[in-house]
Amino acid sequence: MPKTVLVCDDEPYILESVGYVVREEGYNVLMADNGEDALRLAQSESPDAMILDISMPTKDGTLICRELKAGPSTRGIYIIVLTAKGQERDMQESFRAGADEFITKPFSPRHLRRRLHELLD
Amino acid sequence: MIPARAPLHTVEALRRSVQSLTVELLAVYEELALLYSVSSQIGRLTDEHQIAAVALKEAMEISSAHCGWVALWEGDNLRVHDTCRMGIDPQTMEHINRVVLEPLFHSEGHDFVSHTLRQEYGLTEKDAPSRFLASALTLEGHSRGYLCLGRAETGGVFLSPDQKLIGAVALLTAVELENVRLQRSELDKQRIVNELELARTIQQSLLPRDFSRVPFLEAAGISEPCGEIGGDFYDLIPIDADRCTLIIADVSGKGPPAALQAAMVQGIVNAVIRTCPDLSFLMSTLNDCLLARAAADRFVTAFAGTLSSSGRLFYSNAGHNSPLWIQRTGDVIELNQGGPLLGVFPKSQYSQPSVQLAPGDLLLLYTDGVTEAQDRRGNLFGTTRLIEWARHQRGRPAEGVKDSLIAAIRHFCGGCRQHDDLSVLVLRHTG
Repeated sequence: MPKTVLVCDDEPYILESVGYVVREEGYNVLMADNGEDALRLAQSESPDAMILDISMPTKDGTLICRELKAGPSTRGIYIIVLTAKGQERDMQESFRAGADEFITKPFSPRHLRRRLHELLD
Repeated sequence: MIPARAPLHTVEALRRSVQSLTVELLAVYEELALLYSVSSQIGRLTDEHQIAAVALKEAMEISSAHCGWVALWEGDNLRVHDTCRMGIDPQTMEHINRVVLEPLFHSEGHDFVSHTLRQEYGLTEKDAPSRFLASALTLEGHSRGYLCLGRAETGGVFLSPDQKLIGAVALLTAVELENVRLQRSELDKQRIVNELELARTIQQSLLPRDFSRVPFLEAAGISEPCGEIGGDFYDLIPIDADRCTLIIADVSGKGPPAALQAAMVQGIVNAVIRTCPDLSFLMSTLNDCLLARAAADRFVTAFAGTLSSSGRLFYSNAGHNSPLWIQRTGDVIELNQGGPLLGVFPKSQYSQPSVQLAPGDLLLLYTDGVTEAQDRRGNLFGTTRLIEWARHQRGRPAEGVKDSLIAAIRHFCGGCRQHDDLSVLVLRHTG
């Protein structure tokens, strides 16, 4: 049974390209282009990992992180934050919110593939 | 109205198109991520080998190369630091540098790609790569070396996207290497400035400052090199309670070489005069020492005098600007007897005439920076103007005479930059 990865980003081309990388590596992909949908999918589908943007309208990635890590059924989801906000304080804020890993944009697809395999295989 | 559904083949074509664009986009992401990673890592480094090693590691990873190295020019030779070589034996690498990179440089080639390097160059070494890519570390037409990558025959060939990407890494590396070079050159310049400043302090400290040790005269002096340090010096050396030796000298040339030689001459004068206050002997000894040790094309002009408390002045002028004896009466006499300049003619003889100073008489010793001071039109201050100025100095204190001369020269020059060292020593016999 392939593992499932939830990708959440409000930029369609990032969403599509990250989803493509995940799918190409043989994992199931769930996609959400906003925070509410991402939370809903995380709660209903219990993915193994999540690749999450930080800067999104209505509900940003930090809030989603906090809510998922606070929920008993979702706190086990491995959260990779993927963001253009690459300052040290952004990283610290994500980790405080419960993120497990932090990758900055422009991201290396090669690096993302390697990390997915290390985490999920 | 219900819109017509797109035909299936059109949907499939769109899907393929999106997929193809996505793949292209991911390749661009990969390139951006690589360049971002390389520049953020090497931007913090200050060692050129560390920069080259980071660039090599990233370039090898992105291109799945089996081996690689960064060769940098050191003079006419390509050198590879141990940390800038991976997956290849040094001998194999040097062979490739010799047969591929050096001819590439001489043909002014920038990049080089081969799919069959081993066959093409008859490389027999086991670890010699078949696929090879070399990208020049070139900035503004100046080559710093090459970033080289190799793959075995089983690896894919290097394609133009590889060449483009590795070329971008090579350019980033060249920029950073140049930054390090400029930074180092700036530090070197600063070090030289600091050392010259220290040398200036030392040279100024060699000039006498406490003239009160000679009770029968009053003195004032100044030495201004045109750079940080120069080849002029003056000195006032007490011999005993009733006698002192005064000297002014000018070493040909300017800057550190002249300053070193001036220090040597000053040292010899101090050593000789304390054991034998004979000025003919002093000048001959200086002449011999300079001929024996001085660098080619360097000579020294000097004036030395021994003044006693009675006012008797023995002097010897070795090709130096004639000091002025400014008498109380206002008469000005040039002290020009002695011999030729020092360090040029072997076995030169130096006479030691004497004059009798009266209390209140002044002696003005100076170097050619005074008479050769120039105004904006290139006119020289000159001896005539100096003597005319001197006629108005009778009876004045030494410090005032010195200040008056410096002010007269500055007024004459009108802010023009001077090209020679300038020194002045004024003595007033007080009896």
